Amino acid sequence: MATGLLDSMTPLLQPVFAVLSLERDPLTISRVLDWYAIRYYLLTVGSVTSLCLLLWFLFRGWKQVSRLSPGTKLAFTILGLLSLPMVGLDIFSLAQFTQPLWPNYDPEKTAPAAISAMMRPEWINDVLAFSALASILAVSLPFLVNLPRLSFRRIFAIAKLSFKEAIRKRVLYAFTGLLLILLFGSWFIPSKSSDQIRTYVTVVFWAMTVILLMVSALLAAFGIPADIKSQSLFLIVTKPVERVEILLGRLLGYMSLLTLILIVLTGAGLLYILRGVSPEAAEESLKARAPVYGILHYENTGSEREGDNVGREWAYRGYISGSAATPGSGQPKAIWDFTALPSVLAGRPTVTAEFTFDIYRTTKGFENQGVGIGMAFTTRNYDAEKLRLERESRDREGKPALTPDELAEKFGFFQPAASITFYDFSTGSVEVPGKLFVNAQTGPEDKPPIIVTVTCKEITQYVGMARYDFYFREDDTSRGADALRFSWNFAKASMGLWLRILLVTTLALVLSTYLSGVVSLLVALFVFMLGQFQEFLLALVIGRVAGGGPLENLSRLITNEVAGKQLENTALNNVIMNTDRVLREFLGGLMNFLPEVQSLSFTEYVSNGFNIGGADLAANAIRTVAYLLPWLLLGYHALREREVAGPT
Amino acid sequence: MAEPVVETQKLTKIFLDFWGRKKKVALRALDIKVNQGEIFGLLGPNGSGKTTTIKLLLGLLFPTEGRATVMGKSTTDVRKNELIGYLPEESYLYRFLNAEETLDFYGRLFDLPASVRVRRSQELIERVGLARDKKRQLREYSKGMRQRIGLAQALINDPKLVILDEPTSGLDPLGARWMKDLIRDLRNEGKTVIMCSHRLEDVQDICDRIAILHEGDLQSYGHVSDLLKDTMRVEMRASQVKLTPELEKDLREVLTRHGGTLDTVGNPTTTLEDYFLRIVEESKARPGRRFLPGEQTGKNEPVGKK
Ligand SMILES: Nc1ncnc2c1ncn2[C@@H]1O[C@H](COP(=O)(O)OP(=O)(O)OP(=O)(O)O)[C@@H](O)[C@H]1O
Ligand SMILES: [Mg+2]
Repeated sequence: MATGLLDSMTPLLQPVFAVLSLERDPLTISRVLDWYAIRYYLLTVGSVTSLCLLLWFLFRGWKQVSRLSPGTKLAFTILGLLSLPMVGLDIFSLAQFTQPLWPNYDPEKTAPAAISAMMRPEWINDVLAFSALASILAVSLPFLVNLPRLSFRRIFAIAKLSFKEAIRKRVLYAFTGLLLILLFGSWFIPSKSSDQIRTYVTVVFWAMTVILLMVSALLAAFGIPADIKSQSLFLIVTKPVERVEILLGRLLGYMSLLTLILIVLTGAGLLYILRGVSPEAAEESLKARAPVYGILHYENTGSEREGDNVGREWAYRGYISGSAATPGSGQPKAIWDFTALPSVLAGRPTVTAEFTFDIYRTTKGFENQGVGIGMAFTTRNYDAEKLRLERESRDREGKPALTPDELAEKFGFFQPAASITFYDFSTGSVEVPGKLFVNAQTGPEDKPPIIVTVTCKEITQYVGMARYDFYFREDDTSRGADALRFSWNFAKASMGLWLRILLVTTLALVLSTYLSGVVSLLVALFVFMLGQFQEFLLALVIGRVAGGGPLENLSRLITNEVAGKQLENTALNNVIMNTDRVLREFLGGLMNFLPEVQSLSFTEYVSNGFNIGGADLAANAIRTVAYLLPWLLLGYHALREREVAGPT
Repeated sequence: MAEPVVETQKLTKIFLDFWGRKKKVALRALDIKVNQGEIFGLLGPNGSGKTTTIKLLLGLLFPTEGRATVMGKSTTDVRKNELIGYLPEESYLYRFLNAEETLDFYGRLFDLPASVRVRRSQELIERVGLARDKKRQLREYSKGMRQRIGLAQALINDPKLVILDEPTSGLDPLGARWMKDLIRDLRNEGKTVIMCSHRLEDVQDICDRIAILHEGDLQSYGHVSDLLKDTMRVEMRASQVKLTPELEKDLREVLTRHGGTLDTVGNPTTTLEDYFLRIVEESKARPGRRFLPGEQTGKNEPVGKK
């Protein structure tokens, strides 16, 4: 699939940095589970459930409710009433979405729906979230009422059946394709020996991703439709089987098969990568670095938040030059504040700091020649004046100079060398005395325990850095066992792939409860792709992509006008542009319903030898499951409402 | 009187096409009741709505109008299925399972514990005569064997109501007779049976009451014996006498005196079914016997005797 292809091919196409150039922060559990995130989730899901309630009520009316048992009826009535604020919000939002189509619309004066939603007072959002929860519960009520009836034996029976069925369908043949890629892959992939692991990891994960996601989508999309076509489903639904058991059973069956396959493939892939690793590659990537990151800011550059922009790589890295921007101002500096340091670091003789910066040369012809940078580590107890006095008095009294350990422990200061030579595309490292971390443990609360300052030593060059370009290693670099830690890391990346498999499988399965196999397959893959390209979609919504909306482009096609030129201010063109505004708003709303796919890909971590955070993985798992729950609810209702023997 | 097991009120099913236009009225305002412990037959030519009725009762289709209750519950209530056994018109079983696995699978769907599942499936496999083939995948089964295993799965939960769609289709006359005996046994065990068929002799043999459908309309409904009893006709059989023109003439005279007419008179023949069964019995009794050209099998033996 193209997504898997694209996201793992990227490192092949670009110059490979020996550092994690992720443009996202690792996800934390507290970020996923904090009230704002939950509230946003409730509002998003609730907007659909409340709309469904409204439509259901309009089309089916009260008659169906009156047939429910008294307890259920009461619960449904209460929840339905509590959902009214959300229903109100739905209607209001729809009105706002279509605003540009109203007469007298003035784009200058009216705020887009998304903006006005952001300006709602907090308490209203809280109330709405509560109402959203009520509407979700109301929609889940038939399921919740039947919850005690669910039987694991039935779910397991269906799971086992799906498992067997999948095996009989000989889907496993698809995996011989993977074998071919592995066997012949190295013929086609030339690589520097230091990039060996990087390339292999990328290729292996790319192949695994494509094949596994394809197989899971195929399996899940055609299971239920085939059962309906062969009418085998007739016999199942005329047994005391809850429809949700069919869904869960199938999911369980497919996921156990796919998990088994994933485990085998992970093992095979790992063996393939680990046999005959070159020493250079091992140095770069056969690791699972556990980085401790600081917060980056700059001094004496354009702004504190950014370095100077040299027009390269978007604005991911900020650049500092070797000379002051204007005469009289200070030397530009990049500064990392380390506010939270694990206490294990203080117990080590030395702690490894690693960094990879980008060099931007203003003078040509010196590629592959290093650039000198200055680096200083100071703790919150560091006092430049005190250190200077101590040094002077030692000089006077003829005492030996302070050792690095003494400097670190007593004065909270460490400087590896006056200038470190640094090369493109490689990871530099510095051993920092553990005593520095002992010193940093106590001190003024308002200062960060450790600060690292980096300067560029050469006047004509720029050095670019991003937050994640500098880190301390929490894992003990002296302990060895690199291959083992790398393998575990590889397995963790497989878990990320597992989450993507879960995503595709569930999507395809849910869609197939109502749609035909082929359509489910296509829609599931489409949703997955949209999730993959969320960033692009977002750019589209915000209007960063040049050329205007779909209708505007269509009209340009027809009238043969050049893109980029402002459309004339005619009535027709106004209608066109306003309709595009509405489409854009809807697209923006739709974005909320796409899965987070990119953060589930950890290939880059493994290929560059970075440890995948357990919390990152767990938080992503929570988010993926939370995303899938409403889909399952949809599938449950679709299967319940479906006339199984009806016309297809 | 006990509550009916199945009751329908103005049950109607109209199939719509993709655009929501009427395509076919498969069933129109059906009102029937099926009582506890009887064998109820749904009769009608192809496409008359028999299968549609059954699917409506099982909740596989939703009624366009009207409603039906099965054992006091709505047809969409999943719980009613606990006590229902269903044999579909065609075999909808998973072909990659063998007989034992099939029964085990459907047993699990009834949430039966393993011990019960094993006991019942062995019993049922014996009962439907598949003991020798129980380890073979269903894809290798003949139509009749599939029908048998289909019946076995319908009985796995020891149901109170058994719904059979064309139970004798695909069975040889021997199998059909066996199936009919089995259905009677089910009634004797106290179960209610609803079956549909267009093989009239089957229905006549075993059904207590029937409903005849045509083009989705109920045409006739009641006890088989009542419906078939023809009080304006007389049938007689006599033995120890040969049919001669004199006898025929005398009979005609007697009947004319009583105001009737003689329609037909002749020697009785057996049904092909009885004849076929006798041949098979003979073959079992005398293994190795084959039909030879010129020989006339069973001709010399007295006809109509079993
Ligand atoms: N899913 C469907 N979509 C459209 N029409 C249908 C559907 N199922 C049945 N019908 C129509 O409904 C009518 C009744 O069909 P039904 O299957 O009930 O007949 P039947 O009495 O069981 O016939 P048979 O003896 O051939 O089994 C037929 O005209 C058929 O074409
Ligand atoms: Mg039929």
